[in-house]
Amino acid sequence: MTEQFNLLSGALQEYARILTAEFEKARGSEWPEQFNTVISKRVIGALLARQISYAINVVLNIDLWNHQVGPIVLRPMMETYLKIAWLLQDPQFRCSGIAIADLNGVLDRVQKLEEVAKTHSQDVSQATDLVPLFQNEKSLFDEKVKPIMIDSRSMAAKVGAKAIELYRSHHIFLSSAVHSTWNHIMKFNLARDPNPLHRYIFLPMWSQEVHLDFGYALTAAMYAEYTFAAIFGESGFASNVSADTLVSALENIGALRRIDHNYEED
Amino acid sequence: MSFYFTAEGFVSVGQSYSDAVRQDFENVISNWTIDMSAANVYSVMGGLLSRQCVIATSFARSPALWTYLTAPLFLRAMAEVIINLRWIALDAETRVRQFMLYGLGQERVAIEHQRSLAEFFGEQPANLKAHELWLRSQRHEIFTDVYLGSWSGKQVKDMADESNSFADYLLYTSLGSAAHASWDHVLQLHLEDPSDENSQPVIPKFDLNPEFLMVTAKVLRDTFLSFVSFTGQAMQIFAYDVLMDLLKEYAKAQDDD
Repeated sequence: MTEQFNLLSGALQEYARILTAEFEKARGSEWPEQFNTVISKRVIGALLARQISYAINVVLNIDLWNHQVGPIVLRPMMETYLKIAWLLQDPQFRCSGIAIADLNGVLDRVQKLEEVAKTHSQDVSQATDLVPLFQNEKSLFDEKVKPIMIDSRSMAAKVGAKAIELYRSHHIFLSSAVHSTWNHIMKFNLARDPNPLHRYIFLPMWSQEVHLDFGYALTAAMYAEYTFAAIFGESGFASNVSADTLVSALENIGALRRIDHNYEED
Repeated sequence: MSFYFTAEGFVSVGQSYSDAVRQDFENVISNWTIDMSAANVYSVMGGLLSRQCVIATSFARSPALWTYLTAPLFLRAMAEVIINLRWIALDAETRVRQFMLYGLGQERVAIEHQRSLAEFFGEQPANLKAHELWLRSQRHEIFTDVYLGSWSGKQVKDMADESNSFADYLLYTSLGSAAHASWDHVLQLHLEDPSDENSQPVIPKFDLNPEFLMVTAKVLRDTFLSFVSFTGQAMQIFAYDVLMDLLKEYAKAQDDD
């Protein structure tokens, strides 16, 4: 068991190393002309860094490979991909718009926090100390650009194609876990009481034995691949970090086996 | 309390804490008499408590998650659960139904999404049938409405105000930037030098911080306390104190070393 675990750990660490290496290469490379401005590279580059950070975290953390907590980290990955894909459609304008909106939002929240903190005698210096950073950041963007507030669904709709497919396939499942809605709780935190005298009530249950699902690691790899592909195209960085790369690595150590759908018995 | 910490050292702390939470959970649930006339209340409130325990202990058992990258995501999810639980408790019969119907509506949306993908690609997703059967086991699809906006019809702030959950609302709202990768959050973590206009993006080394574990444990303790208050049980919750003792021992062992 230890040997198998070491093999698995080695394969996952190798994939994480590839992710980091491809990110380092990408940030030092020449970006496509339409994104190659200071503002676009700043915002999209940082979001790419975030996406790869998440991907590494999911791939290396087997405790996330289950329906209980995996979605909590995968949903931000889905949103980050949609955000990047949407920003790339009009990078200069949209990067400025979304950054200004977020910075306005946080400055507003800090101000409200200060007012409320006075009545509740709470220390909010950790938040207020960041105000100069946010104000300085705002000055980097064109003040004539209007703040843009947009949700993931709208981003996916504007991007279309793969983004819509991803949104429709994943969003509800991941969001239900993040927000702990009834459709998630009922499937994963309750079990039907077999006693008919209890009218089949649903009992709170909690099993520490969790079903490991490689799909979480593979989906994280897929999001990383799609994100690289959205910025740099499908060849190069994206193909080096593709989900197939991870699948092949896991196949090589016997952790996964492809099912040949065309297999015919003799 | 200051720490010098390693991930390996904290694994046993997380596991021991998790065992203590399980004990508290089993005590509380086994001592809660099922009211068959309010079966939905039992299922929803018990389910929310179970969910909170799962999130907290999954976090505790994996020290690699105790970082600025992932901890905010877990904490925000937990803050939402406790606000929901407390708000539902104020008028359980009505609000439990709202909670359930909203969730079923979400399932219907998921099914419709999958059907539209099936139409587009010309083949059914593998799990579409499972989703349909699951929904049908709860409520016929034609009677399942889809609700837009929040499940309660209120903002989280209003729910927190009504249920006296100001601190949890602060936690929830302050972590929104991390959860949604807002620029104010991303620029702090993923730019080498945010004050430099030409700063390179960076994958930082995320330091492990056991204070995140302490906060999740506190939220879980508060969830348990709200739950036993709702059910009218006179029960003690031990897991939080167990964790604090474990961390003190760990810190002392580090100092001795």
